[in-house]
Amino acid sequence: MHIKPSQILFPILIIILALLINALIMLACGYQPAAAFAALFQGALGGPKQVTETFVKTCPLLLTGLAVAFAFRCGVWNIGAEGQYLAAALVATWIGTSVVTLPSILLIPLVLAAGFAAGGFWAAIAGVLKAYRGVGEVISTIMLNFIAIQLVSYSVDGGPLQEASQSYQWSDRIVSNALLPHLLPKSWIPGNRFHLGILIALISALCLYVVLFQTSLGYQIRAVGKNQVAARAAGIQVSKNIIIAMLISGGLAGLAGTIELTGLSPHRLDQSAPGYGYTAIAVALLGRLHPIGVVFSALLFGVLQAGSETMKLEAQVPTKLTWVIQATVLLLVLGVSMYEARREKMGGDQPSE
Amino acid sequence: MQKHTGVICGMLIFLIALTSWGDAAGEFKVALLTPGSISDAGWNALAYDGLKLIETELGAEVSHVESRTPSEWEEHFRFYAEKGFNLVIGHGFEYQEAAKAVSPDFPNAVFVTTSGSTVLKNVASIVFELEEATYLLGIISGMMTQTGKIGLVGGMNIPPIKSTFLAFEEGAKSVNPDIKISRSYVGDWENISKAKELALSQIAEGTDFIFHNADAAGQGVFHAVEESRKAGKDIYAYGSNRNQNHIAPDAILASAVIDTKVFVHVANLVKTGKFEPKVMLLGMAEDEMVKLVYNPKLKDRVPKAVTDKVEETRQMILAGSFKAPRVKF
Repeated sequence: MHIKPSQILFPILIIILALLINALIMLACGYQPAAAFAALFQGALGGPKQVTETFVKTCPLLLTGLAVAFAFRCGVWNIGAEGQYLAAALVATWIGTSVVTLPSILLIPLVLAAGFAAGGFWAAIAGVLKAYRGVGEVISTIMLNFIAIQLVSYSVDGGPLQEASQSYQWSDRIVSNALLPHLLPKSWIPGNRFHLGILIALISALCLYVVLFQTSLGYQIRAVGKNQVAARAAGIQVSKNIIIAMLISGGLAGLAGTIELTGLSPHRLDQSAPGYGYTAIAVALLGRLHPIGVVFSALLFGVLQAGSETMKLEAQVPTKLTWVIQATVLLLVLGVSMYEARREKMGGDQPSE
Repeated sequence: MQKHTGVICGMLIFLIALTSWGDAAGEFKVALLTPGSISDAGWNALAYDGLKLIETELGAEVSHVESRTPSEWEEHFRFYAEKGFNLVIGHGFEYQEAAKAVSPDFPNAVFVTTSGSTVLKNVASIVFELEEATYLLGIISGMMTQTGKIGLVGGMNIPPIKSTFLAFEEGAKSVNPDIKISRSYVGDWENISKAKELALSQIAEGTDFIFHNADAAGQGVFHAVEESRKAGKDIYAYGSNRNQNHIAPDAILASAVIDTKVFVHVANLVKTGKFEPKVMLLGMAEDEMVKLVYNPKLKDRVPKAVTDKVEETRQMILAGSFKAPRVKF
């Protein structure tokens, strides 16, 4: 893997441009950009607690970003990480609130595996439809998102997973045996929430790198992604690879949903759709669809998420304005990626791995 | 280049350290968490008005944040408590569990939820007896309805909302035992168009009085009633939580109102050290913390027999000889 200077420059330029645009928006809305950005940086990087919090926010973005990147590598536009995330959270909640007798050492892997399987299954539906029936995965994965959102919504509002007193629209608390341990002692960094899932996410990135670039499966998947006709001519089973890619992709997104549920308080499934599945597309593109690149782009978005939280609290910037800021970055990433992709196509300049 | 970024980062951190020095101890600080936008002209706006009043009347330093999802609730409570805020108000029933989870770590901070029943050493709840006012609205509807059908539109199906609806229904039935009441829930607090649809379908079924308790989504109910009035139907809506009469002055007959002084009252207890952890029930008898406010523009549409009956019941509530029904939660 060799890195071109433009690959480093490109994210930095995007950030500077995004900050400038957002400074203008904030000025127009009557807020102090300097104070807001100071709060953003302080909230994300201002101390040990803040740095761990940035990792906490990075975790779901990294896993969903990897999910999207992996599917894209196979030429499948998985826009459904959101739905796979929720489908997994749903299954994890079901297991995590009903199987209560197992010890942690068994229950945690069981819940994680179930989440992976559920996310993989949800994505594989779209994978099978594409592989055997030619159904556009962009449409089918988005549709599956809506089904997952409504399923969750029903399950915790009058459905089978609503908490016992039926007063809140959320599930019972996941049993404590299923909760992910926090890795850093609270005596070092008070109030930190650095959980095992963050480690799992980082290891997943490494595994994905190995799978993609060191195994024949990865080679086949990339071959299908580059050119299906050529891959088929070379004797690669296109359909099989598409389904496998979606299984793994959905599994990773599912892992994100499971980890958020078992790693972070209040450990209950609720009706709010987190939106990670959509941010993940920008994370994947900014990371150049490369597992290690995705780690860094997820960290960048993690900084943004952790920071915008502080921007709300410290600089009293309204929530909706922080959404505008995040969306600006997202749009810029997507826009610049499209432009680059087009230039590469026209110039015949192959993207490096 | 990397050296420079190091220097810049260092300077930034230094600057930030300087600014956070400003948080001198000793000052009274109050924070508010709302489940939705404070631009809803209702439940959330009410609390924000209260917070502003705490700022001006008690000279407190105040801060507000929208705290929408369960994962944010605890985070935000913790953030303010770590910052040394003396009082953190979670504006709603849903904040109880987060307050309970965070409170042991911050014994010097007070956590208050508006509605709810969780009480710990430094956790209390304020319960507005809005039911007293909605009971009176029920009486007005029961006496004035021409179709014999009235409607309710709620945000989510949670106990505090159900409770105000129960009182409204009981009020209506007390004067009109055969009245038909339909209840609909939006499913969230912000979907104005869905609330409007729900209200329109109730109106299509013949409902002529609609009470909403749906925060921002309630605007949809007002739109529906205004439109139907323009189309010649004789129907009315009611405002909830805050005086909403001005929002649709030709359609809202009256509002069930919580007074913002509730918030100052509670903050003052904390400030002066008189805070006791308990469920604070605040209603009409407590200095009119809850009241019914007629829309002056439409008040002449209410027959005297109705206002008399309402006043009679109000006096009974004030005297303590009548308790408006409420759901236990």
